[in-house]
Amino acid sequence: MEIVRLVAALFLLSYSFILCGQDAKLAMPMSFSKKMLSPGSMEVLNIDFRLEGSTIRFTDDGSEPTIQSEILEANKTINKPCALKYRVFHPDFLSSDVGTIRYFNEPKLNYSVSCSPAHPTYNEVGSSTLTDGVFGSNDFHQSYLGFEGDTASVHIKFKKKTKVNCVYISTTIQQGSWIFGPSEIVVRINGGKDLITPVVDCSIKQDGTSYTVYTIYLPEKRAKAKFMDVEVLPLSKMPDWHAGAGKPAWVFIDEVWLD
Amino acid sequence: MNRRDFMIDMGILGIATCLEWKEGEAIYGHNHKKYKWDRTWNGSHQTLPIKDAHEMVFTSDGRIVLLTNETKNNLIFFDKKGKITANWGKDFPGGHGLSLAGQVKDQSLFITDTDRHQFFQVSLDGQMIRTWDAPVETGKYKDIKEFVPTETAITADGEIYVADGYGAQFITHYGTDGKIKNIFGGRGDGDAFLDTAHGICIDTRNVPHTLIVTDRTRCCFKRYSMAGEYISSIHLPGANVCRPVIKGDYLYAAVLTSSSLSNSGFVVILDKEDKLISCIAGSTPMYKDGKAVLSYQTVQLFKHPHDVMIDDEDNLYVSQWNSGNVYPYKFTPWK
Repeated sequence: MEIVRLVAALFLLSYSFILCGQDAKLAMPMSFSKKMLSPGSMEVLNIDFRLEGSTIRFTDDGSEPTIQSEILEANKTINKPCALKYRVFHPDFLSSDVGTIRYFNEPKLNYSVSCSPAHPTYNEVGSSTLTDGVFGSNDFHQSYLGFEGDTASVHIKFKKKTKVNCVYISTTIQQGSWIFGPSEIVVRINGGKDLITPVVDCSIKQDGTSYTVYTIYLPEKRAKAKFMDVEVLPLSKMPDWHAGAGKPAWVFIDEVWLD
Repeated sequence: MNRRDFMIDMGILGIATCLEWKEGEAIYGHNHKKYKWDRTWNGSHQTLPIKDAHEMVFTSDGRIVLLTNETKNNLIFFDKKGKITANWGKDFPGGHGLSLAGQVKDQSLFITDTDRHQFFQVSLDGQMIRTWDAPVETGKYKDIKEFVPTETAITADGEIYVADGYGAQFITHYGTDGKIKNIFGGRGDGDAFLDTAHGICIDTRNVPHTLIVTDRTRCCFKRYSMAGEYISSIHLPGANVCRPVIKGDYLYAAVLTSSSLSNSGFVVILDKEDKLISCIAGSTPMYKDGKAVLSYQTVQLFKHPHDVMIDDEDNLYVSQWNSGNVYPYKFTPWK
């Protein structure tokens, strides 16, 4: 009799977890991930997520948002560079992945940026995309230049010799759409020696969409530039686990700027 | 408390939680089209393989029919409890579109095959009735491989419309004798043209009847007269819609992806005035200045939903493409 009770309890316990568990995971809001702040300006942040009963919570100290984190209210104002991590919560669903929104100070454009031709489908307004201050979202059809197996060659020309501390290159990774991170980034100052920047192995599998801003710090003695070349190299062969294994990956960039 | 007593207590707690579950159960959809996900209908006990679960129909005698491109069993028949009652079909490697033709006692299936560049009429027990090849006689096709049919719609008197959604984007209209009467649509930039004309149905909710055709790339449906004249568009920004399905006063459609995000998607329901009223696993419908605003996935319930089917009790079933070979999901109305 005791065994029967025990088996019945185990069955009911399992069944209750099946029936009563939270149904599914919340999706990530379709938000921008990066934005430029004009000097002295104030940005208003709103994230559209139309699901009754959901709350978006955020942190600004680099920690992962939890159910105890501050709620992201409508019309939050931003007036200085920061990185906000956010996550959606709902009592009936598992919380979403963590998203990040970064605000940067808008650069002083004492330089011009041009770029090698992108694929015609992802080349809406050409090189000006890279300096318009508008970051792309998870819809990679807009605000990006996309390169299918080709190197994105960016040429930066200064109005006068300028000391450069670092170069920022903003990208997206959406492996399901064959968009990987760069396999290598090469920087050349005044036509000089290649400065190869180590990047994370971009062939590692990752779900969903991510955005990475690569920061390339330049050695001080080299950093006074008349012009610079930045080459963003795609992964030459997609890895075996991918549906497009063996074919070249796409690489997408949306902004290039300097400090 | 010893281990055994703990387990018994946890079981009782489980029952108690279930009894309270009504309060916190996840509800999908909006307005008067809300649903619960019936997770007992999940195929976990099924043994027949499925590749892509492409489309479904509900027969007049109460059977659910699923078309998959798995050539071990292209057609799988279920009852409403999810029990498989029959299967057949090994000849449709690109089995994609599935439609019902005929009335109560003489129903048959229309199947489009994107690999074979043909479409077929087949009896419910798997007997081939008729095969149609690419409509080269229209002059629109130089090569039969340009014809990649994704869907058919059949009128009550047996006229056929076939959508070439993965090919040249034409809608070819066949008379009751099976011969071509008309061809329209095609790829182009104007309103009357199509891009990924993935689905087609006959809208019988109003007289005269009209055709509704998917223009998936542009996230809209397009309405045509039965003679192929363009009438209007139903824009659903963010919704890469698959075929339209009419049941009662409503139009249902699976949304393959939310904008261009892979592994996403939801289901949309529109009323008789073509207004979006509910999104299953999607954002609350919203209009601004009379236009639908962007819809998107809110809950990661689906990965590439490809078709929706509604049975005679208004239960809703969703089949999915490239979703880990899953069986269709079933949803029951929530009141």
